[in-house]
Amino acid sequence: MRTITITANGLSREATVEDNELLLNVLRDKLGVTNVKAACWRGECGLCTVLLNGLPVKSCMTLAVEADGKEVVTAEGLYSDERARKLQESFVEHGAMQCGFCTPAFVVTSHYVLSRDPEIDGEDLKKELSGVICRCGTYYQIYDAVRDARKYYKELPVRV
Amino acid sequence: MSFGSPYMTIPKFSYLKPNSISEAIELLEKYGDDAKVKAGGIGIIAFMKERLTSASYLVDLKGIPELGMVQESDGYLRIGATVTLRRLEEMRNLKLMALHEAVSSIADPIIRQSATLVGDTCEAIPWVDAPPALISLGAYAHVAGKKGTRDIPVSQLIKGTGELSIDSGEIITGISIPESGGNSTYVKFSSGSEYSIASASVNVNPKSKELTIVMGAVAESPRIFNQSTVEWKWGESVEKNIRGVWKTFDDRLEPMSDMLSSSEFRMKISKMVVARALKDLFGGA
Repeated sequence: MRTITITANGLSREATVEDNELLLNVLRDKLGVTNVKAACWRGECGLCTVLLNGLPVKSCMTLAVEADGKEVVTAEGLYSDERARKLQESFVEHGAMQCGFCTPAFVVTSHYVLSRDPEIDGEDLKKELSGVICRCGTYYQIYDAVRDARKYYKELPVRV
Repeated sequence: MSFGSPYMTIPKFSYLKPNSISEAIELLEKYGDDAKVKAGGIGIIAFMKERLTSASYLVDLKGIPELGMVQESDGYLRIGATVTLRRLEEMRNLKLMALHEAVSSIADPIIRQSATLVGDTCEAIPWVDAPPALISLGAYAHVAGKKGTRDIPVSQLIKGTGELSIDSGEIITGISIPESGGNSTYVKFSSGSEYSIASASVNVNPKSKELTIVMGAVAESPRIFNQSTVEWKWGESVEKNIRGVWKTFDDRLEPMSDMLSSSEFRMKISKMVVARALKDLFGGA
């Protein structure tokens, strides 16, 4: 057992973890960050995607001890960023979900993709989003929602 | 990589994060086969979840600063053991097209943010993408152990599925690729799943008239064809030469049969991907 410190969605939190615990388990079970979803447990579906120090990783393939001293952001942690709020509204406007289980992962991933390159389009955008799976198959709507939200990432200041 | 229902947990181990290569080697010496090395972690965590491998000690190389470096010197591109695939993919000035294409076709962009080139190579599963590209480009692996350091050509590194020609207690610290080579490309066919049926990496040096074809996913380790096994007539048309390569495949490729594909189908796909790669480089529809 060891104590690690994770800044989860802006709050510095301590957790006592085993070396073999996954970041996903610690986020959901010990830190109460339940908007990160668990599904395939083998790095394929991407629903457990979080931003670790700003970069997307699949938290089911990341050890909790690796996140010690780092910053973890999930969909709910994006509330302070106006661009990300507009991105989420774009998901709603385009009906870019059916059951909604994959939505947090798509929001986090597309937020990262758009902050990096707000001009991204077409095949490049589809490839960038290909790490997350939507079993309801709302890919067309997700693509439109993200494409539409590019304007906020071009216009709005980085942090509001 | 899993064929059955997934496990959600990893058996217990102690996590160790050395700060230097010598410290990592000491740990491996101390714990022997009870210790496993981790870089990006995608491979080892998946294997441990599936109970395909186990370790009492997991030695994370990510705390060693020099392993995270990409350096260009003396005509070689040296890639450290913890350099992620994503970082290589985003190198705009990467001249090694086969490497760029292989790296950007591995898994998905989020996995590539964690997974490393050296890790992908060390998995040594038939269908992994990095080894054929690295072999066609003439890459070397740098190995460090208690006895010192040595270099092994990637072509001799992979002995079979999951088997590397390094000793226990040794770690691969990086891979160097000569940049002087000619034009290269990487083509794979994976029928919608992440497991390729066949992949081809071709490197051609028009000046020295050297051609190397490396076939991945067809046998336990990549199959290499060069001047001594493939007769490439430089004045002839691409189509005629491709038929020559196919003839060589008929005689020597001997693709394996497994749950993904029969040997016959794998032969057809091998011919298709190699033709596509050769046309990419030499022109032709």
